[in-house]
Amino acid sequence: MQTFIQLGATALQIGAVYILFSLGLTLIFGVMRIVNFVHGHIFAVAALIVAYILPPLAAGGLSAPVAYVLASIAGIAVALGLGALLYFFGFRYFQRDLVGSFILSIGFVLLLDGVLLHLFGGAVRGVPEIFPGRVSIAGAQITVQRLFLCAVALVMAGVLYWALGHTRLGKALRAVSYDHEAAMMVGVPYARIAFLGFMIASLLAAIAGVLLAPVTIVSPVIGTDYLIKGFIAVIIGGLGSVPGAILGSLFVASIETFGSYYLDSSYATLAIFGMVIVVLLFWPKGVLGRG
Amino acid sequence: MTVDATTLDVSGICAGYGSVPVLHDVSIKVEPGSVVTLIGANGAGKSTLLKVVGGLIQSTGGSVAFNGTDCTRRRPDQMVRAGLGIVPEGRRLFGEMTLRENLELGAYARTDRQNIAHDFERVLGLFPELRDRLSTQAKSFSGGQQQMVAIARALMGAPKLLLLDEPTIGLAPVVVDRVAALIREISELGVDILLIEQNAEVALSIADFGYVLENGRVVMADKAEALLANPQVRLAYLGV
Ligand SMILES: Nc1ncnc2c1ncn2[C@@H]1O[C@H](COP(=O)(O)OP(=O)(O)O)[C@@H](O)[C@H]1O
Ligand SMILES: [Mg+2]
Repeated sequence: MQTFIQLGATALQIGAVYILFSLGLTLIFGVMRIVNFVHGHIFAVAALIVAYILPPLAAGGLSAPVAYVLASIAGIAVALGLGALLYFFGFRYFQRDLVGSFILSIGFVLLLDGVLLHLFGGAVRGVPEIFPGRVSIAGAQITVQRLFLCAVALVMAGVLYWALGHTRLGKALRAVSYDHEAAMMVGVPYARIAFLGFMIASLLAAIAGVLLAPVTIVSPVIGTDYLIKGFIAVIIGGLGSVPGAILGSLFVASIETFGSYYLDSSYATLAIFGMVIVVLLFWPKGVLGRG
Repeated sequence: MTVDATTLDVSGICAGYGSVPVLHDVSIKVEPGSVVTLIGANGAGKSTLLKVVGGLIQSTGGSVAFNGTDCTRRRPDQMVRAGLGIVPEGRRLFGEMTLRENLELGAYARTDRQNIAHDFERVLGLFPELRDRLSTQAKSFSGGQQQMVAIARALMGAPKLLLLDEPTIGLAPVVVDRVAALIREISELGVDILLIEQNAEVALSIADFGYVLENGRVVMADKAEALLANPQVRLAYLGV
């Protein structure tokens, strides 16, 4: 039982990050009907900036939390700037074009792999501990840092979920996802809403990046694994579905965690891909996707 | 904007999809206070004309003036903000959103937000059967009710001109009569109407003026009662 709770807590921590990723992917797919394979790099840039400027800030005499907040703001700002560039010089011209946007994404991935490697070097960076200590919840041990990550991620997911249902922008985003032409015919400015959807998704990825920086080892390729898991989560849950993204993420994280413990991590990975195949056989649009 | 500017002045429009031309030199007018209909067979190019006026596709020639202002290259949201309301072919409701949300989205482009609550009541006054179902998902309404919702949604934008694309298609005869009566009622509230229809009999009976579109060209333009009496129209569109 103890082990089970501990594993559940771990699954929730990993799942929280997948949720931020998959929500972004599903939002971008919803408004623009593209799959953004360069999403992981927006995440990586935010994490790298934090890893890069946190040590000098802390060495300069700032307390760890203050230095972390400043580094995070910088990381998020740079990541959002990158997102805006990708949108204006690329994705804007490939909306509703799955093949074109796929090729464009891959081009951006290769380009950014090179640029990030050049700027930040291939060596992995450790970020100093920001919130030291660990707590015990229902017998499961969690570090304060991971607890913080988990809480922020779940709050962000909750805020997004609430905002989609209750705000003017949220309703416009849903309307565009449902039928972009009908949305245009009631006066929703499609181009602006698509851009905002893309930027909100980039913000979620950037937040995931700054949250993860202190609890993991940061390198330019850090985004890839999360992108793949986030993508699997939305495929299982249904591209374009917000509840689908959340459930898919928790599901993938659970299989990964429990699978690695009870079987072995390579079986866990196999199990995830096996699940994707089974889900797609029975629900080609994902479990909560639209038919 | 002059007081009696023509509400909609479509002049010499040519348009198509990719390299395939659909509309050839189409000109139609909607004068203030009138109900105008555009009738034509399936594939004649009626919906294409609506998309040109609504800014959803670009014309390759000609111009569109709305309330005396040239609007030829405007985006759809600009057209809606300028006072265009669209009831699209096939209704195109936001099916997974509630009736209330559909109506709220209808008012999305409005700048006079303080009047929205008032118009919400007014619109529901026109459709009393919808009032108790504001929390129902749009997709679970019947066909006739969905048509009412599509009209109500467009009215929430407080349009000066309402474009309706085949609002009676697939509806039972009593519901067709209801829609026809509604269109007259909306017209009397001061909204000008451009009604696109295949059902020429209904359309011409409620319109003041009519145009006949064939293969992307306007082949007839006359008072509605004259078209209704015209032997060619009767043969081609009324089957008598
Ligand atoms: N999205 C589109 N892409 C290509 N061709 C289209 C498209 N929509 C309509 N068409 C073609 O344009 C012509 C006119 O269509 P449309 O304007 O929808 O006619 P109507 O509304 O009078 O039935 C038809 O030949 C149709 O096949
Ligand atoms: Mg049509």
